[in-house]
Amino acid sequence: MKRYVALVARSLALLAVITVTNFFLIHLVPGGPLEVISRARVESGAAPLSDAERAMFRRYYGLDQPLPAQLLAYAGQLLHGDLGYSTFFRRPSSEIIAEYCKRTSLLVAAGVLVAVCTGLPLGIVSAARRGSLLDSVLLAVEMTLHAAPPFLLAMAALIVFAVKLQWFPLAGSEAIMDAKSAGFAGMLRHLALPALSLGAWESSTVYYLARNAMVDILGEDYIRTARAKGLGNHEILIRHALPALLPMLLARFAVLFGTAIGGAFFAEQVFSYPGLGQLSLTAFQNYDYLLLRGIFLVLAASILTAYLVADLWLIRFDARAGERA
Amino acid sequence: MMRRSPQIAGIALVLAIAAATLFAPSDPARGLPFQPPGMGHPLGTDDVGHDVLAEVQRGGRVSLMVALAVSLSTVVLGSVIGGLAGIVRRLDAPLMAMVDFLLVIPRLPLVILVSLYLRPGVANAILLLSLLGWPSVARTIRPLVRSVARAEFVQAARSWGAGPLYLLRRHILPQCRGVLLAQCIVEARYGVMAEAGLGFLGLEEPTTKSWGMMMAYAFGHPATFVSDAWTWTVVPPALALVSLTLGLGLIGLGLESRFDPRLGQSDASRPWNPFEEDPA
Repeated sequence: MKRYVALVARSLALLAVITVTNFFLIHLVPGGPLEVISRARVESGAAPLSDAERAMFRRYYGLDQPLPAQLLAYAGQLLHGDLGYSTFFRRPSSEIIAEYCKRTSLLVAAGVLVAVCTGLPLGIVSAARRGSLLDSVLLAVEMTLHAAPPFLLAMAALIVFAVKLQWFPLAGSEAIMDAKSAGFAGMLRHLALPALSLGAWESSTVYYLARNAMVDILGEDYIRTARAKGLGNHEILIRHALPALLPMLLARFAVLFGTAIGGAFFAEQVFSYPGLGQLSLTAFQNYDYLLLRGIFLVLAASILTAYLVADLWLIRFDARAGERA
Repeated sequence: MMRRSPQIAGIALVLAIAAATLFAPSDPARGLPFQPPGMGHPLGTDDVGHDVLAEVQRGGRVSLMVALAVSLSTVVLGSVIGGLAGIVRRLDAPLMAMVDFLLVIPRLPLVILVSLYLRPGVANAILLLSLLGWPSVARTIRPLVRSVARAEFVQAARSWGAGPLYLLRRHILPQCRGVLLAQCIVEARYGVMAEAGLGFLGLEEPTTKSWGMMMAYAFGHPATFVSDAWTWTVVPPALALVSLTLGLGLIGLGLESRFDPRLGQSDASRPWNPFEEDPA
């Protein structure tokens, strides 16, 4: 029980640190918050802020308060679920983020699913047949995949399957936006290429993890004992090695989730898939730092949650993990 | 010899790229936009008539600079902090708590997001990658430092009054040079990938000539995909980038199997683990 509490406390502390950092980041923006407002107005065709307007905005946004008071106000806002007002979309940030977050979650989930479904079995096969031709070929393929940055695979997929073969749509996720008219199939068609390229990129990571862990496990004494008992290769793999492998991989699942979010930024960029990555670029290009701050917080919180879930789950599986935490 | 061959191939790839960047023309000839490869422009020209070969050569400088800067700064920071945690008992718990704290932050999304806040640029990218990269080095180096610190020659130096930094610099870290070198390669590779990614998202100064930016410009141009122009505007920087990361990966593969203390002698053929973090 103590371990659970310690883990939750650590996550909350991290979240607090990230929130505070996030709060101060907006003051690091070149020119500060008022300059941001001014630039956003110039961008939309209006005149830059006059001195009187600056003073008004400073009062209106509470920027005349001392920083600790501003931080407290920000924390209070967050506790009410208020992520601020998007100056570009002219709607509350939380609404927009929720809408885009759905698509990114779908993309990340599909990508991780593809990665696990391809990387895990290949890694296990590779470890079980270590040193064979199959192992060498798989290693070479996965190593090349691992050397390619995520956007490169996405671009290759776009050129081959969307431009040349025209099996899949080039960009966007319109079908997701009005799921009723285009249906589930349309949604999948738009999701397919981004998710597959993200999954292919991530699968090399899963492959290495699975292969390395499996090589370690197959060298353990209890596997030798099982073999000495006369169990066949399949029995050993399924009854003895897999139960040991899965918790090990689960510990890394959160890491996979974190890198998948990074990879999703690129898949979204290549396929113009309207997710959080694209939204943050839009926010950046339009000086919408309040929206950016909200996205930052949502991503950080979801990644932290993934780590926490993996850690808590791991304690159930492996008593040793908790001792180290 | 067979065992060394991937490593030799890796070194050859990286050296070839480094040599190519050295011979980049300082004032390349401009041509018409989207000229296919031919006389005058061996790899053709891009959407504004720049010579693709010269651009690729100059982009390599950015990648190599990031690789060098990120690997050096993370490994120096990580080995000093991880080393201090390993030999100064009072510092161990607080330093490693900080390391564990930073280690769970996924680097790539954070670097992208913070680049959005700050003025995007290569210098900022190097700074961020270094700040977030050293904890994994510290995690790897600490147990090694601890085991070396138990050796008698280190105990002897300590008994003469050698301070922790002197011990690290003079006696302990030189013993860990293989692992430090492997960490350098891992970090360099990560730096190259992340920098290219930032360039591709347009998060560098628009005038930066990097492979990521080249691909971003090529990719953003409508003519790139309706014609065959992508074969000479996208493929060369992409190939250069993959060659560099693959070359670094191959060097890392050889180094890890030779120096990784976790790998027994019997298992030198085990692949290089691309995960820089310690299993948590």
